[in-house]
Amino acid sequence: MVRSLSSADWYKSKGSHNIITAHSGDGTVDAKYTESEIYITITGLAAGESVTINTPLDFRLLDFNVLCATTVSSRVLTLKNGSNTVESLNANTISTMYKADSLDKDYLEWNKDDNDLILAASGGSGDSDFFVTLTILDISKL
Amino acid sequence: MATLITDVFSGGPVQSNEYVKQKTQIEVREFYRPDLGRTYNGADITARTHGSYLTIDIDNWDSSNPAIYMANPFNFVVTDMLVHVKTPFSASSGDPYLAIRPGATVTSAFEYIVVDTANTLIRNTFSGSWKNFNGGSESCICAKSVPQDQVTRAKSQLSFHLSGTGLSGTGSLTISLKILPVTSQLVNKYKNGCDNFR
Repeated sequence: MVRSLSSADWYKSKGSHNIITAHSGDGTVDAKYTESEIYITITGLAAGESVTINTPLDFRLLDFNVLCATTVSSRVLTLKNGSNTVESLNANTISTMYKADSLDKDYLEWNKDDNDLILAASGGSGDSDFFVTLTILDISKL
Repeated sequence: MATLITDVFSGGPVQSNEYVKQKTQIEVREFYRPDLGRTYNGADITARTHGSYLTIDIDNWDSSNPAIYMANPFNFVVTDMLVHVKTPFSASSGDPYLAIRPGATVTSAFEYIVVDTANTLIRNTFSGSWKNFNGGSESCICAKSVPQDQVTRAKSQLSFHLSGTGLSGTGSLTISLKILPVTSQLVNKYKNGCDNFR
């Protein structure tokens, strides 16, 4: 059973930890976090669908990268903090890495257990698969 | 509360192997110049190591004081860089630039970036010579600072410099450096040139 973890759990165990996730459609989502990154694997994400990633610690986002695993014309993947857009990437071509070139400074921090880190797909038709990497700074101890 | 890395000034230097050893035990560590605390010429500075990263927040940086000098508690090589411009600077002509330098002066920076647009995320472009990894004055290796250097500022080993024509504004930046802690021996070999860096 996957449970929400504190940052202390992570540092004690020296491994990656699973994070609770949810997919609004019929695809899958898996998320793990390590010392400085959250890795998210998403399959079967169609326009209008989203995945929600629990937030097991207070953290600030430093970077947002997406490796696209399917080609879906006009597909956009948007990173949100609750209802607020942090960054949108045109992630539409297989085997292409898309890197954020801006982050909205007003929505970079997530609080523990708010569970409102959302990746939403829009544009195009059909399902997309993504590998998402978020570089983070643990601010829970600061 | 973050652990403050003050050993370098009060209890002897923190060796890079010590850092690596501790990395599995610590959460987020913060360091600062003890002679200045968390402010420098009015700017608020917070530097934290986390995992393979050194992330430095510089807030309320008045461009009339265009240089900031850090104190490194250990030796490291910069392998990647990311700068988030939260609040930009302005220039009356051309662009305002931020230079990131492994030493104390504005020359030989391993990266120059334009810092004129809010929210932009600027990645390492491997500009200048830092891709060469051939040591010398333009390397991206940051040697550990020593206490007396913090007084004279002559040998601060990581510094940030704003430049531009008619520079103005009070900006805020987050600078994330991906780093590799290295030993003093490696630093010396590295600075002698790439033939010794294998």
